[in-house]
Amino acid sequence: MASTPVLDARQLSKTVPAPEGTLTLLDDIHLTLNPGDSLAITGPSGSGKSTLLGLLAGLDVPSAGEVRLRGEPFSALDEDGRAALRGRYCSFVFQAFHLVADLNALENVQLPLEIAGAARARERARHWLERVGLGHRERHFPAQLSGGEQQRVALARAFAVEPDLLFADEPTGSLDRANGDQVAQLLFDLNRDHGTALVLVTHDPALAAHCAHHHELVEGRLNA
Amino acid sequence: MPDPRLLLRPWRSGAFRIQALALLVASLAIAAVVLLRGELEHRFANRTAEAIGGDLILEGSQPASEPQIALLGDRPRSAISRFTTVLVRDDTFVLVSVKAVDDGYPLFGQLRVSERRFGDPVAVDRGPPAGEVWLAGTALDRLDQNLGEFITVGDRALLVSKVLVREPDQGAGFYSMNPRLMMNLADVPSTGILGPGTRVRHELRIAAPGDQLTEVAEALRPTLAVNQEIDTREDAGLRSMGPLRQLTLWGQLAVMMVVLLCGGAVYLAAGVRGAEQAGRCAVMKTFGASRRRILGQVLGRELLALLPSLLLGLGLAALAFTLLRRWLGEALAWQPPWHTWLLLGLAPVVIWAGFALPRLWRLAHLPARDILGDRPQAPSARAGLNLIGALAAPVLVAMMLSGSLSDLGQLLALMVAVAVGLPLLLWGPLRLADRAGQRWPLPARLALRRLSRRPLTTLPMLAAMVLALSIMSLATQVGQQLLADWRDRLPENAPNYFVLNLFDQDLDAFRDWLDRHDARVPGYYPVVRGRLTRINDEPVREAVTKEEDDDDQGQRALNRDLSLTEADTLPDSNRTLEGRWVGDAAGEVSVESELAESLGLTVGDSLTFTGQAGDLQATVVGLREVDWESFEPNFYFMFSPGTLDGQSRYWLTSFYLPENRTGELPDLIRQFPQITLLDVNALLDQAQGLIDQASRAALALAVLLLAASVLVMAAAWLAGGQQRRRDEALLRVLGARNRLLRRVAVLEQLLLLGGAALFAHLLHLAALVPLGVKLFDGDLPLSAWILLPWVVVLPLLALEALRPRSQDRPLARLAH
Repeated sequence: MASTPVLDARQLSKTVPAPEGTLTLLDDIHLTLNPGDSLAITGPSGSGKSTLLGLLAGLDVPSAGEVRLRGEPFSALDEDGRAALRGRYCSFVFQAFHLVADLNALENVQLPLEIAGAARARERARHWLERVGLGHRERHFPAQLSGGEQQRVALARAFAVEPDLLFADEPTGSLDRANGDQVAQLLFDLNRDHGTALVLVTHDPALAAHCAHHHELVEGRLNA
Repeated sequence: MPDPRLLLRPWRSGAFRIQALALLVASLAIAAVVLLRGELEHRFANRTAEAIGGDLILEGSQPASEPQIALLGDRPRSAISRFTTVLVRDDTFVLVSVKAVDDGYPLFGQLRVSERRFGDPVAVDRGPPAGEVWLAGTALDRLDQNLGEFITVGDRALLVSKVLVREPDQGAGFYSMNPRLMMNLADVPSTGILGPGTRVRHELRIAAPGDQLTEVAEALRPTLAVNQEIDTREDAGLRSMGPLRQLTLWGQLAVMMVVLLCGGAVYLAAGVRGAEQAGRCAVMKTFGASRRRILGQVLGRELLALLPSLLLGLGLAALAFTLLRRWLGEALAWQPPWHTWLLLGLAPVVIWAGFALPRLWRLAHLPARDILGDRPQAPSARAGLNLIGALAAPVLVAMMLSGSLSDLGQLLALMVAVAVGLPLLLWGPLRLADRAGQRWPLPARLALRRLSRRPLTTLPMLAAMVLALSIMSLATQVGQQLLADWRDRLPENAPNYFVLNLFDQDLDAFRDWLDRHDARVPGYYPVVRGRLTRINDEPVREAVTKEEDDDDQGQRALNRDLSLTEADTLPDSNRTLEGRWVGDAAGEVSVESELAESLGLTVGDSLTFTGQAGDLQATVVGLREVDWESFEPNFYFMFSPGTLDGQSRYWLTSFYLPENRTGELPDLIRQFPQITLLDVNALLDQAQGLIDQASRAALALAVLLLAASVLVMAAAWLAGGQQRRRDEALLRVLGARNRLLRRVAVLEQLLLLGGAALFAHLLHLAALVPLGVKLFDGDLPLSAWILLPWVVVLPLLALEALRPRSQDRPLARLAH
């Protein structure tokens, strides 16, 4: 029996009202991602990459179509239900890191574990901080870390909950080449070691090339 | 001229609207207090001038000389002579105090006369014409004299044409023992009363409004004869009257607090406004705009857009001022000079410059890359300096408004200490809370971290809220206390008649009469006239001082007969400051504290008085503070019962009779023709009116303070808004449910507002004593008003708990 796909999106579309009529942002998107798969989505600015990421993660509601995480449809859930489902299976890495400025590195990694009600959150957070090489910086606040260090904390935060699926939105976009390469390496290592499925949105063809699958989003439609 | 649409654009921002509203409130408060103070001072100058009969009085035993009169030119003036004489009718002799006036009298105000005893008084602008006299009702009663009959004054028969009810220059001198006779100055020579050796005082009363007073006084001073002296409206002490003094102090205190609170609101809102403007500044920089151009566009446009609210505040104050004038209803209203309006217009600009400018100014100096790159800005040490710099604004406003810092020095020192010291004091508890919170459940920990990890944002905000809440509770308590104090001082049934010359044999019957007429009587006091002659067996002049100072209270007390009384209980309007109240044994005396200080008396001193029936001796057992404004009989020396036995005495009392029962007073006079009945209704009305006005002004100030406090809260909430929204979005992305978000938000507000309320209680407690001393000459008791902050805090918490969580797409919010 084939395992349930981690992510299954069917006939996904998103339209928004605009002064000149209805504007179609995404049209008839089909995606399936199995455990350990990695998918790069590239496309020019304004092609709808971030909108698609929002729909796949249940952060936005599609105009038509369905997204399922581990077979559970987002459409059947209210906002809290979607948050819980997301918390159970997904993690995120953002271009702008989005660490909580008031929490130190350890507390930031600990945060999703605590939200999910995980046991031994502190120890696990500390372990993941060690994994990304920042064990010695656990008491530092985001403002005291470099961009590369912040993104490594964000990676530790993302993997600490041992997600089935990781959404990475331009994870190296704010970093210089050296730091970008380091973070990318770490991202793919962790992805491989833990069998986490990865959806990577990027402009960078080199980064996209690390993924097993690659789709380009053009005017709201996916080209393989 | 900038495009008007550009000036409207800032109004879309909540932070800008809060700034505008805060400046409007500050502008309104400053203008209201300055105009109110100016108006009151002006009116009091007029009232004082009216009470003493002129702006300046040249007084002496000889009339003013021709050269002196020539110096005055055509300045309005009035000459009067005052002396005492005896009126005789049949077998009755009555000593009257004569005031002979010329046609210029009264210089200010109006006389009140009536056509019959206890008739309705009418106002007149002139004294009696030649050949006529006006007599006080008590003199008519004692002489059994009717209007329209002649009476002999010295060698001259004069027609008694009116009952003299009230003189505008009567002032507080309603204790005058002898009834008044007013006559025309031109008739005085023909009476033959004045001759060598007669005790007479000649006064030349002069009108010298505003700054002319000094000029006239300076011109006259070199011409003064040995027997002459100058008295001015500024020397008179009416301004020190309790409620007015308290209101002025309270007004200054309140307006500075309003300025500080509004400044706090502007400071917090300016931070948000700065963040809103940051992108624009960065783009302008990127495209090569100079700092000057950026500042001109950002600050210039901001200030221009704020102008309407500044003008509106000033306009509202001007409107309130006009209404106040109409309400006070006097023709002689104060016209604020142009520079006052200019200062009032500049004051809110100074506040904006002090509190908002440094935060907006910083935009021009931040690298564009930091702003555009959304690089988190490390806490800048300049933020602390901004806060200290902002404190200079209220100081400047105080200087602009009062002309000096001397009046407000202590207040400003306190304010600066609180505004700088409070954040520093709060820093310790915040650090402790951060440590203690490590084991707290996630919602509480997240809420705490939002506050404890941003001390440079949290501490000024917390301090502003602590100040706002404590000022609100203190302002309400002080306002209520002032009102209660003033009402206690002059209750509605305060005595409106005083009775002198009531003798032992009539006392019981008099008491019966008052009982039958439901009159309220605070007490009966036996009065003995006596002069203080020895202190500790030393002749009094040697004992007191070698230096002559006619203004000294003690010297004045030594130069005349004093009213001495005895009582077994301390009157309500008196308070023992030192020693004790007199006991049951004869020979003890309690002395009014200020007179005691002036005479150098202390507890244990032995005093000798010379009365009509010989000397009497007593030991000082206590010093009393006397509320002279209580409208109750008050005495410098109060003896233990029995001390005055053997001296000839009369009784003094006061009573309250409702105005609708004054028609029964002729019956009282007929039954007790020898008493002197003093009607103080007019003075009482005046004082009660003043207190009523002061109460309303205090209430208006409290409302402004409340508005300023609420603005600080709103600004504080707004200041944290953007960060709060981003944090909520991130938590939502990480899988947090609504319940967690709501808990974090409510707990954060609970920690912030609840903490602020608790610290406000401490500040309230700490301020009770200094405020009590400053405003009430004593302690301010702890009251339930201290809990008032919770009335504001709990609804805000409920609002936060019920506030619908935003349904915006979390990613979109994270992107902003």
